[in-house]
Amino acid sequence: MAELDIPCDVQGRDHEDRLWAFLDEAAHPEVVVVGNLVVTGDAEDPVVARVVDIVDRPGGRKVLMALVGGADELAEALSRARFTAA
Amino acid sequence: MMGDVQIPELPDPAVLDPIEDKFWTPGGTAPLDAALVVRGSPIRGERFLEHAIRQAREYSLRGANMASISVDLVLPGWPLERILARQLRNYSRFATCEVTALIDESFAVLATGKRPHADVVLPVLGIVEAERLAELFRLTEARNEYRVRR
Repeated sequence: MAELDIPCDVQGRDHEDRLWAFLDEAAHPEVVVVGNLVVTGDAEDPVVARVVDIVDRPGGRKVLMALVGGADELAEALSRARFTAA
Repeated sequence: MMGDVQIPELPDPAVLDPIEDKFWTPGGTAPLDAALVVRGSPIRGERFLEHAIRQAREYSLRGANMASISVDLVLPGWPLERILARQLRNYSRFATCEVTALIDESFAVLATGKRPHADVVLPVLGIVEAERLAELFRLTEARNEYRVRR
């Protein structure tokens, strides 16, 4: 189980295939900034996405995200590259 | 954990995006050849409710806030295996339900967004309906053998 930055429904994307959620749903709103990578989706199957826009909507501040991949896919890629943070 | 999800004050539906603009069939009716809907896990009422609240904050349906969850329809050209490998490629588990079973239980199924996506609409936004919907899927929950994984 992962701790999400912001939850979203990975199956429910917008017309441009972007993930979305409202900023007030974020556990870590300070990292939900345009350009940042965030952990999103569901704690059981987290994904990594890049925040591409934050727009004001009647229901709140809407966060639009581009899916990068499953969190385990990314972890595996980094492990394969023997990458460790400096 | 059931019942922990708080329903916020919803925006005036008059200023939301009408889902009717996103139908991919006339009137949003599910195609006659759509027998099955597929949903990624977790299949839990509280999770369904969270998704339905998000939808109700963003979309309207027939002039009211639309409380719904996203699903995909099994269709000619969109067999279950293709949906699992594409739309649900990041889900480790999934569940299915027959379209007729949903309609018989008063859940509307609307063809929205891009084929094969659909929305299952709750009659009322609340944990009782979300849990009732989850129950219709739960017995079929299975591992997604087509998931992208390490």
